[in-house]
Amino acid sequence: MTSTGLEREVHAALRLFQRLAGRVAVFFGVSVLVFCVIHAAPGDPSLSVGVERVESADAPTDAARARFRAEHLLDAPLWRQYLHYFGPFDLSPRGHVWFGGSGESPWGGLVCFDFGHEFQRPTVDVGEELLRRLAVTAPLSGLAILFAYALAIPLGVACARRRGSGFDRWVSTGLLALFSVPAYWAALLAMLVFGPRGLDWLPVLGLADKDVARFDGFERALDLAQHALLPVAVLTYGGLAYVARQTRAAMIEALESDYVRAARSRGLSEARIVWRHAFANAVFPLLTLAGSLLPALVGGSVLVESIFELPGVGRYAYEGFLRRDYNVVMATTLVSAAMTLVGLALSDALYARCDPRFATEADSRSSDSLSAAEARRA
Amino acid sequence: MSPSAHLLVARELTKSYAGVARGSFGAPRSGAARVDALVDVSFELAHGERLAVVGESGSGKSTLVKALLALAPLDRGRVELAPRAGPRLDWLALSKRERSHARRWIQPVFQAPMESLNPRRPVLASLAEPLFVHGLARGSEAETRALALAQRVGLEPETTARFPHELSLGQAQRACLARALAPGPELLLLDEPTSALDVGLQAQIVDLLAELARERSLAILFVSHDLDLVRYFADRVLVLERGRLVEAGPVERVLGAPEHPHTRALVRAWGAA
Repeated sequence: MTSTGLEREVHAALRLFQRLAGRVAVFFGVSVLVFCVIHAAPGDPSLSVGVERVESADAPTDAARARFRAEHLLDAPLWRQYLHYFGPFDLSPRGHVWFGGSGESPWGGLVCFDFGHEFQRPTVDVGEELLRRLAVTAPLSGLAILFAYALAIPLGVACARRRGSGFDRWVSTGLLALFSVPAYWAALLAMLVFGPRGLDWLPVLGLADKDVARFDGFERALDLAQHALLPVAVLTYGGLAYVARQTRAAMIEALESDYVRAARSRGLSEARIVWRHAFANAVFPLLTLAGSLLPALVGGSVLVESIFELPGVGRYAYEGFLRRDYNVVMATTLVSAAMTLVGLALSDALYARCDPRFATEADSRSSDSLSAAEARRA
Repeated sequence: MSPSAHLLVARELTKSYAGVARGSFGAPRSGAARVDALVDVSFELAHGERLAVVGESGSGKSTLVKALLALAPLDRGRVELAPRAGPRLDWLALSKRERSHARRWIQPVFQAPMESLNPRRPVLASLAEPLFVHGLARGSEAETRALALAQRVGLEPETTARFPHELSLGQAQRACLARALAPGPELLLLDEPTSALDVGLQAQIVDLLAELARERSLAILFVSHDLDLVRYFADRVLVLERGRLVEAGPVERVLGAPEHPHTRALVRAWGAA
């Protein structure tokens, strides 16, 4: 049974397409689900406090509310609202003429990468605001993930090598305790201990001092580092504990394998055994884990960002929920969903890159040499 | 064959494990019974000799293999190693560094060939590694020698470019054998070397082993529960029962006219099976 190179490539391409199509379908499924859930939640966006366009009174007038509801299609059936959100046709009163609009802005919606505008601040484009928030969240979460891995891998490997020792027991117990501490509690504790009410070592709110405009470059960097220290630490420790436990488990399995025993009896150096032979095989579950951390990278942490008053994506989602700003909630949720899917795809790709058992190159090589052997025999 | 001196002399190898009972945090609970894995086991192995170790599971065979490979520390005991091509060594008392170098004299082949090869490395890399780790060859020379070894055990050059999961069981066992031969050992330690293979493959591997042993005058110590294989392949046999050496001697004598009741039981059980 031989297959030509072309057949193989067509097959591989089909499989890739299948996976991609599946992921896109999941993404739109998520968008429908989130859309339904947020619209089913109690509360009315037009009642929200601080409808800034309403000049006279504290509560918005009936006329203003009606205008607001019409503009955002809030009285239309849910499927029509979703189609409006999905695009590419704008179904609002100012939308495409085909759907009874004035034709001012015929196109829009998710498929045009248009997340709409904020309900309370109609001049603010949600997509652009999301990018501004991402500039805060991505570096903080990125650092946290980096630190988590940089600390967890040596810790996990050290524990696995000294399995059952006092060191292993204490570190493992400590990590479990750390993993069990909720982030909001740790955040509040850190604020109390290191903030102005405690030791007064570090600023605890926001990302910059109020006088930051007068600082020079170095002072500015120092100020930023001081502000970022606690949030990054709080974002790090949970992942650290988790990754370290995974590393330890995977390393124990690898170190007890026959190929490591064989490597040991060949007289290799301990470093070579641990890293080149054991760790190279223990790394797979960590790769999968790395893919699943990607949504956290862009989604940020609602709790931590809210507590430290960081203007990130997590806090944006929180604000959106409070104000029943459907556009903000949809945008932040969907970006997280998209990143989850991208993360999965990425860990698949990494897996295939690192594990020869998944690599298509190895497939083709083995079948090539097989057919070569067959040719010789014939 | 009358070898002039012993390659390996083992004296009073003793090892016991803590019982399974464990207290909080995995610490051994006081008073837990200890299990004897090896008790005062002494034997000699001549250059080029083939020695079989038989016994039921749990008789200490694996512990003996691990001890001789210096993979697990013993409670007590001494192993002297006198390779023809190197100085006499107090094998278990060597420093880490000395032992790394000396490991080239004793090489193992384990029971499960697939699991003994690193799944992340092509076969050729596994074959070449012992060569440059022990400073026997480097770069392209290591590769050439690894290819020659592969050919000697019956692996085609293109097979060595494959990863372990792409090999058949027989090819994997041949690769393990080639890897064990790479550093130029004088003793091969085989832990149930054929029990994972079907009968046809077993015969091929055993014949290959016999050829190689003759060709390189290798001593072979192998653990097996297959008494037919022992009869066919070994010069002498050791019988272990619960960590104790109960009988030792030439194969024909020990398996033909066993003296110890345990050996008799083993032979009877094998005949009945």
